[in-house]
Formats: sequence, structure tokens, C-alpha cells
Amino acid sequence: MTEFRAVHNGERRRDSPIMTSAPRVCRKCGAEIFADAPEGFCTACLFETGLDLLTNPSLAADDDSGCSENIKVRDSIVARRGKKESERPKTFADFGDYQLLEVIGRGGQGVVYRALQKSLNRTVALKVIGLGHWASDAHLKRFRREAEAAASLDHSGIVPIYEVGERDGSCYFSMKLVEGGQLDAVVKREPMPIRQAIELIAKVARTIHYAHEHGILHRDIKPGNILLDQKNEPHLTDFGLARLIETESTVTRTMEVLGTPSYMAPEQAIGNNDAVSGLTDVYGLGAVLYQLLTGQPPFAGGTTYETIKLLLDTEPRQPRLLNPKIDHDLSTICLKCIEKDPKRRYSSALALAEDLERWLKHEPILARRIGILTRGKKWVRRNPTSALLAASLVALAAAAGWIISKSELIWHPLTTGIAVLPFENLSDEKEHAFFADGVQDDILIKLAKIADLKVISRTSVMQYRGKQNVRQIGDALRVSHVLEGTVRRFGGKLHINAQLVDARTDAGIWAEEYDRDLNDVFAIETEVAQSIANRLRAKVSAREKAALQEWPTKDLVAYDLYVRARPVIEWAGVRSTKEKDLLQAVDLLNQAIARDPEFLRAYCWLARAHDTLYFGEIDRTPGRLDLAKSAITSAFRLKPDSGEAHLALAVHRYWGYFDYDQARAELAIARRTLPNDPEIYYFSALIDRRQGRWSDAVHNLERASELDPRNAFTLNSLAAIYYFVRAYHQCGEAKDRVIALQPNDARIKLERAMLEISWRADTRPLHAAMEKISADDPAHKKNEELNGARFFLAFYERDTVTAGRTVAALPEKDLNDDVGFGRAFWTGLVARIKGDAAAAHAAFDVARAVQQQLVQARPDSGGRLSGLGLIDAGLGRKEDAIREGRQAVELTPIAKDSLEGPEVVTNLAAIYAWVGQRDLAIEQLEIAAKIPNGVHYGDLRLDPTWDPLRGDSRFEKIVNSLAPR
Amino acid sequence: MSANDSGASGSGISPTELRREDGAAVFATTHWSVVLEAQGKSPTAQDALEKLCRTYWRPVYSFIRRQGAGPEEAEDLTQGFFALLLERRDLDAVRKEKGRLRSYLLTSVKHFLASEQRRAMAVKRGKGQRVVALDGLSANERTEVEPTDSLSADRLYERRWALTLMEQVLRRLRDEYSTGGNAVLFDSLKQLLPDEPGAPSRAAIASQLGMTDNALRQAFHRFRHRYQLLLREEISHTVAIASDVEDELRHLITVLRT
Repeated sequence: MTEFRAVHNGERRRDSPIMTSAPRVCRKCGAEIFADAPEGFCTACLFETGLDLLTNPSLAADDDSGCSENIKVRDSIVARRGKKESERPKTFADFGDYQLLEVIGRGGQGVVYRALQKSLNRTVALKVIGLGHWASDAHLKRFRREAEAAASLDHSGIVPIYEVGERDGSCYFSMKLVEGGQLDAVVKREPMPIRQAIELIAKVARTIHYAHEHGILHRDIKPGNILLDQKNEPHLTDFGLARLIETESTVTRTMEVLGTPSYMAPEQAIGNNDAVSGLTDVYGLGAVLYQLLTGQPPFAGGTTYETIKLLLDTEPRQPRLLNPKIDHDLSTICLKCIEKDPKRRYSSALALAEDLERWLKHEPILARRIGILTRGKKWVRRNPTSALLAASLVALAAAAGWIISKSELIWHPLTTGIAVLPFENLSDEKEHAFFADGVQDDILIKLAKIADLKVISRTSVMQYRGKQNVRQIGDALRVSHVLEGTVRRFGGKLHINAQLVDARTDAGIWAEEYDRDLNDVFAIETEVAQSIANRLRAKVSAREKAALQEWPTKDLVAYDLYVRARPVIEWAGVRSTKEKDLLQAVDLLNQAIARDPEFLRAYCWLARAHDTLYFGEIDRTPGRLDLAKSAITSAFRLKPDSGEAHLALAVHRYWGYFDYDQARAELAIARRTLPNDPEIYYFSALIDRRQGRWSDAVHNLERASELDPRNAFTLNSLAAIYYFVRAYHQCGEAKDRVIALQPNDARIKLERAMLEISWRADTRPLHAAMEKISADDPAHKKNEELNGARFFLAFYERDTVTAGRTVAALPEKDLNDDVGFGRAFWTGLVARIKGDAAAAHAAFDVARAVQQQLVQARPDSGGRLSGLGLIDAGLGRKEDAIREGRQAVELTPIAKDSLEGPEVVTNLAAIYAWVGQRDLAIEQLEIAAKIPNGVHYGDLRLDPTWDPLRGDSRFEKIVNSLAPR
Repeated sequence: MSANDSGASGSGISPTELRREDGAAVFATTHWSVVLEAQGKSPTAQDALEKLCRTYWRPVYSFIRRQGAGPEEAEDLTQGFFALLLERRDLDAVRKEKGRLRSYLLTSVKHFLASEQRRAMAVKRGKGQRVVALDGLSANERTEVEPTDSLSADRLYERRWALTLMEQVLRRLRDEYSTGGNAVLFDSLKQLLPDEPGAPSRAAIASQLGMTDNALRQAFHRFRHRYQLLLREEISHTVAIASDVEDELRHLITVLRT
């Protein structure tokens, strides 16, 4: 091979005669850009874009805690400091002598990067303190002290500090890069064997002892500060965090105190810095040991505040209860370290190390077994500074609202809600679309079992199939996070892609790709759900954790059948092929169950299919109900405490028997394990409404709507309840939201306008709405709704001509056939207003015949009977009318039925008014005016029904009492 | 191409349509892992290997050039190498290379060049056996600078690998946007990708495209996110286990920076 003239930088520079232009240089990193660089960009920089890098390291610490409150605070601080986005330094991965390669850790104060130190060409760990929120001198001082303290130590178990400095307003220090990661990350991947854990802690304890001998305390021992190298040797980092109090400001003081409370010693937690000593570090060691042995820290509450309360007031759970493999000696050692009274702990880190080493050598340990008596005593009570404690807790709580979102909270959920969007089906076979939906649904169901998360229901997210604008979706559904994914099923393999996006910033915060066997689908779903829960820092109870790992079925064919059947049942109500669809779903589910008799969910949905057939009036035979019951029984046999089974039973009792009480009881049980299921809240609300718990009904419907924001039906029910309780403003808002969801629905728009009549006696909005709908509807498709509204308006406005014309087009029987009236009745009423007694009589006669039939069909219905009473009043049959009216109230009293009861009372008032019994009428009206679903201002003012009472001062008083303010 | 998790275009074209446009290789995954798993023996694996070779032949070519072959000879040798590779079905050697296609190909080509088979391939020259399409060799590459020592050849190979990968990623990204009718958007957004000071500002681009700043920011987020996904995906096709992706990415950056 021929040698050639030396080329600058090896092969990079081309001395080919073709290259005539001067080489280009990347303005960011300074490297040369060659002619073959793709798209003409600096390829290395392009690659780095592919990594998870941040544009400004000093604001990096802000980045991950995303709750809106936090963002507001951060924004206000940034604004105060006058820094605008455009002013941020454009250097991307460059940080002076360091080139940032990758984020390897985040802490409460700063971010740790893997970086290349250019001058020495070595890879280091670089910690940069985010000073975006607090750049006080105290903070800077503290930082320097931390770094100097650590730098003075020279021990194999302590990560050496290389350099300390300041740049662009950020403080940083570089240290040796320990490959292997933080202890907590490592044990999360695979739990550590006990012996190994003990050896590790013993080493760390000796390291701490060394530091103590040099007069330096760590003060922040926690798994995150113990790094493991390739050989799993521990290295301590983040020394000091100098918790010495500099200023007397409460906020700063609290800030100093807070760190990771789970591993914090009590004397630190209450801010008693005089009491902080080497024994505090012993506590930290014990807490980490506890974590390694049991899988959890000794105290962990939902918030920092709660954790500290637990830490101060309660005793840690016995390690042996959490991990039976721990023997008594180990348990003793562990608990001795985390005694609340420092004097009761090991006297030094060395003593701890030695006892641990004795255990390793199977020698007897020195720590005395903690007696039952001593364990019971609470340290706090003996402590004279309890007043101080109380004050500190209060201060903590006050500052907690702001501070908590900044500090490294273990359990603070990062989310205000998550929506799991439909997964895109990338399989070639169209039928695998169901499968993709099944995957999404399973993950949704898993996440929904976590009470600490708000998970949007499936009905609402399905509308976003194929849509991409995550921010819009987040807004519409009012969630902070969105999970999207793709599923590709080919042969016996599966390729799933999932990513979690912060909807507020459109930033991806987690993504994973799974390339596995089809049989692994449920394992993948579990992993995804667990990763999400983790990422969102949701608090997951032990039971919820177990629920996450449940698999719907072992049989994939059965699963396929199920995913096909389920949407059919869900959407059956809106389709005309209801009966055929439901029966087909039943068939599919039966097949699924035949294949896997332990497929719980299939049973529950089978029951639902049967109940839907019954309630939807397709098959109202008892046999159908029995089929549902049998499926439910099977479900319970498989899992007696299954939330899904309890929900299925609730729906069964509700739809099949109107057994509100049992349904309610079942719903309450179901709610415990299905906290994000809107149906539970919806049905609960219906029952509450029926049983007069209006406030509960409102709350439940609001919750149902929150979980299912795109569900117009739920929203409409919510609007209805607001209407019943005369919360007209909220009713209007809810109806407006429904209109936004279903802009083509004329009926809703008309109802919205009719609200104004009941509320304010204002008929103009309804006129306007009718005109608009009519104008937009040249094909006259909306005639039916328009006609009803036209009649109603004409009736109220006493426009007998229009009324007479439009009444003929009304349906013979009202759809709401328990309390409503049909065409004949309204014809009679119109005639009555006109003063045409004969016509009225004739019409009422017809109406009576119709109503008689209805009463005979349901003799227990107070509503139907009261209708008959009113017709009889119109016919002049006074005694009959009064008798029927009163009997109706007895049949359906308000106490028994808060929905129908008031309507019957209102009818009785009308009956009395028509037969001339004014006093009795007023008496009933007074009742109706006070209860939900009674009478409304506008109706009393405008409805001709009440004409006989006009002028009566008591009547006017009632009307005025309901007038809008 | 490979399993296309498309969706960045947001134009309403469904993924199936997109892939139909791609024509040929809709089904086969080009995962290197597939090849390894099947020990290269199944038709799917063969298919996958073939596709991978078609994408990553360039580094091999550059390496061979740097080893002293002239342009035509290098072309022949490259063809011969891949022909032999695809004929041979035993991939035991791969395990030693930690299962990365990049390393595997490099080792293989070194063995190839050193072995007698070279002679045999030279005989096959002229039979019109083209295994991989070597079109697209630029004039520059044909007249590339003469060789130095083999260490540089290795580095050249690695560098060329990185560039090829990046080209592939950008091409896919461009295709996605073009198919969605967003070619202009792609060209505009790509300028923001390396985050170079002196690149046109976001505001300027936004006004050029007639978008609000906010909309552009969103669009860029999606763009960059998609780019990152594609980059990782492309890399994942050449490694055996998913956890190697990050490492490979870092390796490639190091290769380009040193």
C-alpha cells in the first residue's frame, strides 16, 4: 500500500482536486462539516439532537416537575429575572470546557450530566445546579461549601471531585463518572441479595466513618446518593448539602430542611440543626438499609408533609413483616439505626459497620434486641421541643405548597390526569385493529385502577383515534399527560411502541419499544402501565400494584373474541342493528369463556350484554335476566372482590329490577377498586338523584363527566340535574358544552333555549334558536324537534293559531310516558285557552281513553295516575280528579322517588287549580317550589295551566320567590 | 422499508397508504435481531439481511477503497462480499461482536479481504451479479483520497456508517413529511434541528411559512420527536438488543467527534 502525504485529521480533509471551497465549520461545536454531511449539517450535532439533551443546563432543574402551579411559579420567577426565551444561550451541548452528552440524573437542586471534558479528553459527571428559582448568595455559598467539603476527602468510597465553578449564572462541579448508576435505580432493576446489601452498607458505613473522622457530615444519605460502579462497589456522592441554616427566613429554613424526607432523621426533619451529628448519618444508613432489605423506605407518606409526620409520630414497620427472609439480628441492626432518639442508635458509623461485619461472619451482634416496651414510647412526647415541632410542621405545611413541587418528592404525582389514546394499528390485517384497541384498553384499565391517577375513560378518548395534536387533546380532556402508541401484529410476533407525552409542553417524557412474541402482550401491557405509573410518580398501593400485573386471560384467541365483542356492547345503544349486534357479542363472549373459563372480564361483559338486551327492551323476559345473573355469579366465583363483578351486579340490579339500594351498595364496593370508572359515578348519581341526595348526585355526575369529558350523554345528565336543582347558570354551561360536542343536535340547542324560559321567562332565545336551526336546515330534517318547540312556544305565548296548527303534528303519546301527555291532551289545553269548551271536552275525552290504558298497564305509576287526574279535572270530573291526584301522590311520594314525586305534586297543584280549590293548589305549589324538580319561575309565569291562580297574592309570592336575582 | 411507525405528517394519510407507496418491503422487518435469532437461516432472516446490506453497503465500500482498491475493483469486491455473506448462512461470528451489525460487517469484510475468496470473486467479476445497488456513489467518493494505514480505514468505515445511518433517518423523515404534502415544512424545520446558532430563527421560519410562532414551536416539537424516534428505530435495526441502542448512539457520536 502506498503511503500518502499526511492528511490533516486523518481521512477527514480531502485534498482532492474537486474540492475547491473552503471547509465549513459548525458554529455550535466547531467541528468541520464535510461535503458528504447529510443535509449539509454538522452530523455530530445532529446525532446529539437525538439524545435527551436540554438547551439550557441552568434551567434544567426546572424541567421535570410539571404541575401547572410549578410552571406558574417558575414563569413568574423567570419573568422577574427578566430572562426571555430568546435570551437563553444558544449553545446546545456546550458548557465551557465540557461537552454535555447525556442526562444521567436529576435531583432536587440540579441535574447531573455525563460530559466530556474537552481539555483533558475524559468523560466525567457534571452536576449543574439549577439557579432558575433561587440564586441567593446563601445558595451559592452552600454549594461551594458542599463541593469543598467533598473535595477534601480522598477515599475509594467517595466520588472524587475534580473541578468546581460557576458559569452563566449556574454553579457546577465535575466529578468522576461512576458507571452503573444510582443504588435505587439498580435495585429497581433487580433486587439485591441480602448478603450483598449488607456488604454494601458496611462499606458505605466505613466510608462515612472516614468522612466523620475528617469532620465532615454527609447529611443526605439516600439511595440516590450511592452510586455503584461496574463492579457494584459503592461510591458516595453529594456530600454535605450543608444544611446549616444561614438565614432566619422561614422559607429558606424550610428549604434547607427539605430534601428527601424518607431517609431523613427526625432531628433533621424538625429543623433542629444543633442536634444534627454523625448519628444523623447513621440514621440515613439505616434507612437505606431498610430500603434494601424490604423494598421500601421506613416512612413514606403521600406528601413530604405526611412523610415527616409519619417519621416523627410512628414507628417503622418491622422489616421481617415486609421481607420474611430477614433474620432477627438484621432486623435489630436495622431498627437500631433508625431509632428516633439519636442516643439510642449506634454510637457511630463505625459501630454500625462492625456489627454488620459481625453478622456477615455469623458472629453475635452487639446491638441489644429492642424490647416491646421501649419500642412503644414515642420519642416526640419526651422531647421538650414539641412546641417547636408543631411550629415547624406548620411552617412546613405553609411553605409546602410551593416548596413541595420543587423538591425531590418521592410520591408527588406529576400529573393532573392521563389520557390513553387509541393505539394505531400498523398490522396489515384490518382485523387486528380490534387487537390494537384491546391493548390500549387493557393499559387504560390497568392505570385506571390507580386511585392516585386520574385516567380518562375510554369513551372520551376513542374520539381521538388518529388525531395528533397532543396539546389540543390535553386541553379538551383536561389532562396533563397523554399516552400514545402503535401496535403491529404479524404472525406470532408483536411490535408495540408506546410513548408518554406531556400534553402541556408536547415533550415526550418516556418511550419504549417492544419487539416480542404475541404471547407476551399482557406482560408488555403490565410493563407499560408500571412504567407510566412510575414516571408519573403515582402513589400505588400494594393492592393496586398487584392489580397492575393481572392478565385478563391466558388464551389469546379468547382475548381476540373479547376485544371484538366489547365495543359492540358499548356502542350498541346508538345503532339500529342493536339486537343483532348484541346477540353476536353474546355469542363471541360465550366462545371466549368456553376457551378460558377463568376469563373474568368476559363474564362481566356477557352480563352487561344480557342486561342491555333486557333494559333496551329487546328481550324483556326473566330468562334474559337469569343469563346475566349466571354470568355475574361465575365472575364472583372467580374473584369475589372484583370491582368489575360488583359493577356488573350493580347494573344488573339497576336495569333489571330498579333495586336502587342494592345497586348502590354494589357500586360503593366497585368504586374502591375502580376509582376511574365513570359508569360507577354515573349510576351512583342516578340513584342519588332518585333517592333525593341531590348534592351527591351532582358531585357524582361531575366526577363522571370529569373522567369522561367527551361524553355528551353524561354531560347532558349533569345539565339536567343542575336544572332540577335550579342551578340554571351551571345548567346553561353544561348544555353549552354538550352543544360543543354535538353541534348538529337540534334538540339540545332547543333545550338550551328553553332553559331561558324556565329561568327568566324569556322566550326570545327559543325563537332565535328555532330560526337559526330552521335556516340551517333546508332539507327539513329537524322538523320534528322544531315542531315540538313551535308548539311549546305558541302555547306559552297564547298564540292559539300556531298552537292549533302545530299540535296536530305532536306524537300521540309522550316519549316520557309515565308523566307526560300526548296530542289529545294538548289539543284540549289549546281549546281551553281559546275558550272553546266543547272542543276542549272532546279532546280531553280522547286523552282520557289513552291515559286509562296507560294507567292500567302500570297501576303502580303515580305519574300516570296523576295524568289521568288532570284530564279528569279538565273534563270537570272534580271528585275523580282529586281522588286520582291524591292517590298518585301516595303511590309516588317524594320520599320514595325524588324524581317523579315532585312532578306528581305539581300535577296535583294543577288539578286543584283547575277544580277551583285554590288554597290546596297553593299548598302543593309551595311544596313544589322548594324541592328539586318542582316548579320553575318562568313556567309559573307563562304556563296557561296556572291561569286560575293568577292574581292570588300567595301565588304571586311563590312566583317571586323563584325569580332570578 | 422497515416497520414504519409513521404518523408525523399529520396530513390524514393513513399508515397503510403510506406504506403501500413504499412498495416492496412492507412486511419484512429489517431488524438485525431477526437475522441473529434465525441464525440467518430462515427466508425472513435472509430478506432482512439483504435489506440491511442494501442500506449499509457504503461503509463497506469506503473501507475497501481505503484498503487500497481502486473504484471499479472496490465495487466488484463490495458486490462479491455481500454475495458471499448472503450465501453463507452461518453467523456464529456475530456473537463475538456483541451482536451489532456494524461490527459484524467490519469484521466480515476484513476476513473477506484477507481470504482467498477474493480471488474467486475476482473471477466472478463481469458476470453482472449485482447484489447491492451501488448507485449513488458520488464523484467525490469515486476519486476519494488514497489510502493510508488500516487504522484510518476502520475509522473511515465507522464514520461512513454514522453518516449512512443519518442519511437514512433523514430520508425517512423527509419521506414521511413529503408524502403528507409537507415537504416545505420539512425543509424549514430541518434547519432548526441541529440547534446551531446563526440558523434562521424560529420567528423567521414561522412567518415564512405563514404560521404562528406557537404553531411552529409545536410543529418543531413533533418534528424533533419524530426524528429522535426514527433515529433510535434505525439504530435498533442494527443492534441485537434494545438496550444497546443508547450505547450505539453514543458510540457513533464519539466516532464523529474524535
